[in-house]
Amino acid sequence: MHIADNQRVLMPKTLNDGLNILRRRSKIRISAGGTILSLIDPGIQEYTELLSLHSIDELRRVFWSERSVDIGAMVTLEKLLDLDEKVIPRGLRQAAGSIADPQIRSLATLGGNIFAGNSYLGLLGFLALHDARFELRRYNGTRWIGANRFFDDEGRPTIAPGEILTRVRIPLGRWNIQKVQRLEIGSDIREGEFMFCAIAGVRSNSIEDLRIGISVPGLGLIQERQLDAQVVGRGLPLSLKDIDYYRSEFTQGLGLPEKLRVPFVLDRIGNLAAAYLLSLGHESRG
Amino acid sequence: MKTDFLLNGTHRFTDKHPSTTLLDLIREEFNLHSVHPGCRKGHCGTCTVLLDDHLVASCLVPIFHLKGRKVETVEYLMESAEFRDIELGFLKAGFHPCKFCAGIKVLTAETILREWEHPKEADMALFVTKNWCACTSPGSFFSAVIASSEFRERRAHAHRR
Repeated sequence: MHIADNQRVLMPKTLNDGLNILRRRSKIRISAGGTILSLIDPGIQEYTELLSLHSIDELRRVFWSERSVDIGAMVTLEKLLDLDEKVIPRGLRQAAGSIADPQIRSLATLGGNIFAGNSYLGLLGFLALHDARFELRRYNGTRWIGANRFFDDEGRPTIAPGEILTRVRIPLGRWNIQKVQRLEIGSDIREGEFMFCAIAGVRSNSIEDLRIGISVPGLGLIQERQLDAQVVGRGLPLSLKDIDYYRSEFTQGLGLPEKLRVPFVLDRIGNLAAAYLLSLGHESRG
Repeated sequence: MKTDFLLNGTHRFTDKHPSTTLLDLIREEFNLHSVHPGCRKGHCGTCTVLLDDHLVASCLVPIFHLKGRKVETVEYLMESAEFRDIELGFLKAGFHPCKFCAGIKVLTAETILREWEHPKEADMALFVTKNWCACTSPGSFFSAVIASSEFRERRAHAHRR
């Protein structure tokens, strides 16, 4: 392992200072929580210049309104778990709680988790399902991008040089019943992981909207939108025949990678989808 | 890089390479050997310390993140009255972790008690993850932390009187 001599760490206190540093030094490496940077190759020791976002308070803020919540990119996963269920979607809390250990969650940040979303199973799948948008800022402008378009086809984040992911906007109020469950097969925690994500808007005992997907690292969110559309508008509770139909079509239609196309996993996914659809009837009454 | 921080209640100063990890710093420079180097990837939990009252894997914390922050290890905690509550709680609940994970479980219990006065099982369940040492069950840990919280409350009341 090479250790850079004279490593320089720049720690701006405001976002503007950080963006100006990025403008002048395009090759500087950004460090947020530091958990991924410590593990990947080249490691944190090997960069001669680092830009630490740790001291920028603007990136740790959470703004809540009736329609959406804006979460700063430097908010830690532990802080997400501490936020009230009225402030952030229940599914986001479930997803954050399923990531790593408390020792990592107190360091790892929302922004870092999103950037690692192509190689580690994180929050990106749920955010894409929820139509979250990311604010990318540079010294002379701001742009917003949808979570589902953040990684390009080759798996690279669509972020331009000099840009920083500053906050994540998640719409609220539309999806009132949510379920996220992390699952894994095999011994290699990075190879066999996937996440079941389901959100539904249920009003007046009928399904207004429904989205069920499987988040797989490297492949993003896999959905069966046509099947979801067939369920939308139905009254609750759904009949067992409908649930059984959804379950069999869902597992067959999903374009899962080969390693996940094993009967045990397909049964598990089908059961989770069926249990979720069944729960819509109970929760809408409750 | 010059960094100053609070280690176990004492102001400390270091001038090490910025990417030196907190784990290496406290073991090599400050000789605190309750923090063990395990996987060095944040998976095993043997290098756990408290950073600003939160559990962290010290192998993943570069020292440039330490400026002005408070680090506590289990050696420091053992000298405090708070540790006595945890010790009594563990004994009352019959919770006897093995020597490899005892320090981590004490730190975990302390973190929970600092966050919640009366912790609930649902809150504590977030602290039980894949690297939970199999020497003890999560259920007995929950009972031990609840017993510790009762001892802590009793001590706080006695102090007020």
